Amino acid sequence: MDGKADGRKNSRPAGIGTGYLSLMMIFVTLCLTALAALSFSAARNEKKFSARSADYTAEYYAADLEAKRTLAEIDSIVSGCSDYRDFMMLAELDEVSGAEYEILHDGLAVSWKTPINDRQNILCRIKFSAGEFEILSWRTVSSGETEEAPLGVWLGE
Amino acid sequence: MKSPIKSVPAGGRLNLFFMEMIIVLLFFGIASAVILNAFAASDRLSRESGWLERMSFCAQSAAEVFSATGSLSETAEELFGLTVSDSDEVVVPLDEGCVYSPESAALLMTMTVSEDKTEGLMEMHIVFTDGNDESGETLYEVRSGAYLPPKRAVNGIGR
Repeated sequence: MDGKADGRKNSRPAGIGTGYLSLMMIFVTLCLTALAALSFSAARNEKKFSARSADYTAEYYAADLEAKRTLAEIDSIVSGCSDYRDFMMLAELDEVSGAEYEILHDGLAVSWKTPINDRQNILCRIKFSAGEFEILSWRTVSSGETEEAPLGVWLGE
Repeated sequence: MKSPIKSVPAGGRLNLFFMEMIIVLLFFGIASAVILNAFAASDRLSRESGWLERMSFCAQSAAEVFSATGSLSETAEELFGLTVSDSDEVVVPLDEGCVYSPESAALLMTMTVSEDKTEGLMEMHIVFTDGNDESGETLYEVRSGAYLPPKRAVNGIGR
């Protein structure tokens, strides 16, 4: 009995048996591959997000510049006029693209939209009064949103 | 007593084990080369996105200061503490963190101001280029403006 047992013991290979190394290597490689894939995917998403954010910043300031150009144009038309009901001045305002005006009892309100991208605009509203203008609103709105129909959020009233 | 290793027949399991080890090492070498490349690419992407974010913030700050002051020298002083004489263009050397660094310029921020045909409107063009690249490839750019009407007070243009 002992002799047979010794014989079986002696025929076993020394150290790590064949196949264990392959299994360990497959496991380690799979772990490393998963980590590398996760890391690459996270970095790529982060880059995409940064690029989108940076593009949006560039788009916003380009639109802001365009809105200021419109403001300068409107200001040059209205500032030369003392009567805000002047027909010629209002006709000139009509020619400014996208500008809408409203004659108030104490001045003139002009509003216009400048597109940032296909989803958002800068909504500007200014009021001319006594030869000066005041900016009532200079904000980003989504394309579907207007001043009359803002987003359905609670305003605390 | 006989050693267990000697009990393995020559050209048998031991050779098989060594052959397996060689194949495993070869495969592992190739796999780790690919995996290391992936890690290096992730690191590069992450670094690039960090740069882009910082450039964007820096340009945003410059655009806001310029929008309020309409002056390039005031913008440079407010952002980087630089004293600039009356000039239409300023080139600011920045490090990787977008901090003013005249010694090691990883990035170059060029701010150029031009007057628009409309009175009172000024345009600022901010361009970031790689400080180590002589070709001057643009990494990021922003155009912004300031409207300061002559003889008028403007009540805060903001977002």
